[in-house]
Amino acid sequence: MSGQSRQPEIVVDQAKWEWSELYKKEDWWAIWLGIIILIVGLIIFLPRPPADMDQKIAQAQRTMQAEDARAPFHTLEWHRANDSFSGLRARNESHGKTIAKWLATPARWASNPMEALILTEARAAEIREGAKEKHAAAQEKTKAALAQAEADQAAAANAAFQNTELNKKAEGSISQWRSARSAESRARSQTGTQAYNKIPYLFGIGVIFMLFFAAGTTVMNINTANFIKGFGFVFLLAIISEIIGANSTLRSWGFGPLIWAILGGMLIANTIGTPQFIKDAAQTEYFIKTGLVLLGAEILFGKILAIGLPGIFVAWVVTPTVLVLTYIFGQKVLKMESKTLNITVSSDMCVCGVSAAIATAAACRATKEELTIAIGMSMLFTAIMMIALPTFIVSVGMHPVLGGAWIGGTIDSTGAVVAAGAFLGETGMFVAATIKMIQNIMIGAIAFGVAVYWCAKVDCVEGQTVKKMEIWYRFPKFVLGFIAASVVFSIMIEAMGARGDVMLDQGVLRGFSRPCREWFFILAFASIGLTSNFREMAKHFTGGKPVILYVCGQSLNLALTLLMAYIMFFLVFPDITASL
Amino acid sequence: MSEKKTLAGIAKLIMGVAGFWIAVALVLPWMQTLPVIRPVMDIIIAADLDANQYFYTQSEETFTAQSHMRSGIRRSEQ
Repeated sequence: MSGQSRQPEIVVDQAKWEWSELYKKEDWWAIWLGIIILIVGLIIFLPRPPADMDQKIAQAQRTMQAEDARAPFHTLEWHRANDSFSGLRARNESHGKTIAKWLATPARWASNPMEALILTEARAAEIREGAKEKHAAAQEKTKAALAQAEADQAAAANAAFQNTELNKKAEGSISQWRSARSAESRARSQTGTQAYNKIPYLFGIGVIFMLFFAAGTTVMNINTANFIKGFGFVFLLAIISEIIGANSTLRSWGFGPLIWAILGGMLIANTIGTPQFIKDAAQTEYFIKTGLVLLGAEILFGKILAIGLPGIFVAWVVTPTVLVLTYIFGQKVLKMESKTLNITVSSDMCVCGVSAAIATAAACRATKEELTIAIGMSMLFTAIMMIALPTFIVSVGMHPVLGGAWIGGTIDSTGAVVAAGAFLGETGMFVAATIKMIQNIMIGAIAFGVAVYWCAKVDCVEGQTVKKMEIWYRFPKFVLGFIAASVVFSIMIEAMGARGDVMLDQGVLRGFSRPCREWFFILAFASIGLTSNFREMAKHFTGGKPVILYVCGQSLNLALTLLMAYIMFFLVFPDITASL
Repeated sequence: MSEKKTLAGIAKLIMGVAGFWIAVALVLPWMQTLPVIRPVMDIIIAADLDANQYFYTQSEETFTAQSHMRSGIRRSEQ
């Protein structure tokens, strides 16, 4: 253990292999810790399925398939069956709810930030009382909408679903019933508001994470005593950032906790300064890489089949094309000094914002300042596009499937894509969300490709030929854990079929590894802020090159995505478009 | 760090926090009322959507969308 454990700007692997790396390097520790979390998740969730899961799945699937064959639109029966399937979630079982309580971040608030941590019984009763009237009104609306939908569907069924007008009317009424039902569900949840105090859970999870990561520091070149002392401050900054990001206005704009963690940390580091013992706990790479291994498990290849060939073309052909062209543009035209900044900005702009930036930056060993620049620009432009794109689409009367595909392929973050897609109606939102999901799956391939390219072509003397073993020496090993988690979970979920959705997707992943991964990322971003330097960052903005790169790349992305979406959804696969 | 530097640092920190507060409590809520922005924000607020989510597993909408899309494709094949 060394007292001289200043965190390096980038992770530097020695160009040789030593077996001790397996327990001395943070890349491998990230893999081991990630594997531990995933195995614990499997042990907790797999033996405890929801009651009668198989029968309920089989019943829902039978009904949905029969309804798909009966009517050219999603009938009331189809929706009910789909709701019963979607309601089957391993994380809704008692053990899942306990884990959720422990891993929960601060709650949403509008005017009083203390409500993010504590809700008194008196205030909870006030919310419940205020919601009662709203709930009763919502119930009435749902009842009326359901009666209308039943009548319109019966009329369409009487015409054997052959009358286009009647089908369209029934579909519209069903859609209105769905909206009314969602509003009722939201109102109902408010009538059940319970008092809470999140502080003991946050304290507990802070201690658990501290011990979890401290285990690795005992053998790595990190001062364990300082890590334990400083971790509390890093965790506190993470909680404060979560509280700010939980503000309802900021949630609507998409300015989440990550950006507040960076800004808050930078503000401290560049004004009063970050003490050394906190810097020793601000282990950006260690937290990020562990989080990335967990992110790998969420990259499920079966998801790309969700929208078939048109979706695959829009997400998997346009995205890498734009990525490569933007990178070349940055190098050849803008002559960007930093290749790592160039690829990080290019990847966050055309793949999926923050998560792609994190994965790419770690794969090519970009600096903290470069990652901060990429994420800051991504969040700013996402907020702008979330407003501008759907407004434009609706004003020109674009088809919701085309508009949804355009939004899904170009706006950076999933939340903003869903928010923008909702402006186009249910179909537009579902197409947008699905395209974005397929694009998200690309992160693994992009990170792997960037890691190999950097080892073989960038991190070497010009003209030098790099041997295969040299690539292995230089390769960021955590990427192996990231890819392995993705492959293993993709295979498992495909092998389990619909049970995989319930037990893995809606259990191990969304119920356990994802909340852990979110905590690790917020710790990483608080660490980035606490160890970043404004001057370093300002250097990269000389001539505004990162902004020009983002704007030019995004313009190309907008043009190519729209063109490909039009070709795929209207010229090559019009039948799919008609049936969505 | 000298006392003067510490005080200057604290003053900058307070100014920075005040800047954040102005952006969060005044500027963004005001921008939400602008005619171009309001219609989109109204839908986000009414549907209780969280634009903060940066990966698909954070979003329940992606899970629901998946079965809708699969069913649509199944129907187009029939």
